Amino acid sequence: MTDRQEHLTAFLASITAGRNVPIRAGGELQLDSLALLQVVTYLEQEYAIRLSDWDVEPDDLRSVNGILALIERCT
Amino acid sequence: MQPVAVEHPKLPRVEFVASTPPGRLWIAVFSAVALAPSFGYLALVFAAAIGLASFRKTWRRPTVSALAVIVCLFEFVPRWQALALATCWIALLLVWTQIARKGRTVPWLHAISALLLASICVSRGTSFLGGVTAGTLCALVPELLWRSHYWIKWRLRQTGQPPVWNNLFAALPFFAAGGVPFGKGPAYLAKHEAAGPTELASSQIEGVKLLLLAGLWRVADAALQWILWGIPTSWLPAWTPFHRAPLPSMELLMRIPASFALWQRWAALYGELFHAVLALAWFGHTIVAAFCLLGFHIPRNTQSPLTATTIVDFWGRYYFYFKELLMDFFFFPVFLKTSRLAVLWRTMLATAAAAFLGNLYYHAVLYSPILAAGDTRGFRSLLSARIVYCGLLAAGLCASMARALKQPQPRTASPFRRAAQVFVVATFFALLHVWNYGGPPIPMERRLHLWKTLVGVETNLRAIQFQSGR
Repeated sequence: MTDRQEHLTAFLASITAGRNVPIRAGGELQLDSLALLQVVTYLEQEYAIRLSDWDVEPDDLRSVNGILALIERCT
Repeated sequence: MQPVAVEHPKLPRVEFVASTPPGRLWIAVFSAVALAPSFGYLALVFAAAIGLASFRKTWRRPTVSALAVIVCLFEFVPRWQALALATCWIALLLVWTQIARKGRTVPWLHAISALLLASICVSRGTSFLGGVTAGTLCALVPELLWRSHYWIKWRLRQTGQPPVWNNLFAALPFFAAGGVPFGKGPAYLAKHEAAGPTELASSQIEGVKLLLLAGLWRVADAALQWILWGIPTSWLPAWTPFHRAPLPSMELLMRIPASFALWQRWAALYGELFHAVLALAWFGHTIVAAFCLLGFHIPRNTQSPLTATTIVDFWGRYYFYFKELLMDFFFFPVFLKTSRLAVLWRTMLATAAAAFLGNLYYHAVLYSPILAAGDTRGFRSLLSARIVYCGLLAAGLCASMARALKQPQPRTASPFRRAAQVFVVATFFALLHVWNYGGPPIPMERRLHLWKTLVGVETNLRAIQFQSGR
């Protein structure tokens, strides 16, 4: 597991702590609106990505692999 | 994080049986029986499609597209104008998304839809377009609009030329649900498509479970309506004794609230909420089950909303695909575009954009058949009530979001506290339902009057009737 992935997984664990977040095949998370906002602000603050400049859909942020691919694309 | 595997339920033996030819045959036969109350004779076509889609993965998408075309033809053929509109729309969508690469395609889609609705309403009553036909055409627009929106978003992200026929079913309104596309668009469906026989079996088992659950909720809903409001139902045996309904219907409650005791008003209001949840649950489960049986393991539309402890939670659990529509097309874009603001303000703006503006726009399009049918009073009544509904919902969601942002980690609540939270959330949505109720045109004053009587404030209804001229 890379540092980036480890950091992201820890962050996702922190925002979903205490909630029953189902994980589908392919690591897809059923994140609610609030968690999705937290992921957006995490990406903006940690990686200085302005997501509005990129073609991003909410579903891109619903899996660990999707978020990692987005970071890769935008940095 | 407490992961809960939903893709692989702990039933390997059931999955194994479901993946065998007799298991698949049983699933197809069961589907025909269970889908019959909702789809009539078309349930047989569904069952055949489920059988074919299970047989080979490469057959699945073409089969589902063929099924969608058959269902649409079955629904539209009696009204050639609707068939012509749907055909032209889909043809234009396909050509347009082949040509357009990037740019502002989606605003054009909405502008064209608005123009189309306006021209239908204007030409209503002419020899070319009767009132009923105009209403039918207007009802078709939201069904096509939101599916096309998802389709365009998906198509513009494709680098190659994806096979159109394999994805056509995502653009066709073959599960009409007021325009809300269950399973969203091609991109979302692709993510949830069963890859192998085990995933297909798992998806189909979920479909069978959902159909059983839909049947249960349908019977429960019919029983609830019979017990609370004395509404006769074919779901209950004929020998069930006649009884005097203990609670007034919503329409009666709106018209003469003061004729009923305070407890009856509140009980009727909660009863209406239960009825709304049950009706949406069995309706949504049926559609999601059909997708699951066809091999698309999409999430449930309704997930125990009456156990929600916050308004945001209820909103996400009550009507998942409608919430996703507002989230995808209103909330998320606004949140991204306001990155210069503080998180709290961004959240408030995005929530207001989705819950108020987006919700209102969706319903204005949805109500357009009423306008096309010439019922201006009914349209005004519904839209004005919807403005209040959306405003109150947005305020509730903003407050709930702000609270959640301040306290992102939910505290462990005692059962009593949790029950109190559930009660507060249910009360909020029960009160909100007063502004959501459709039925015959009801003036704003009557809805407001009902609210007042719920807190014991009795106003002179005759004075209201006199003032409003009704």
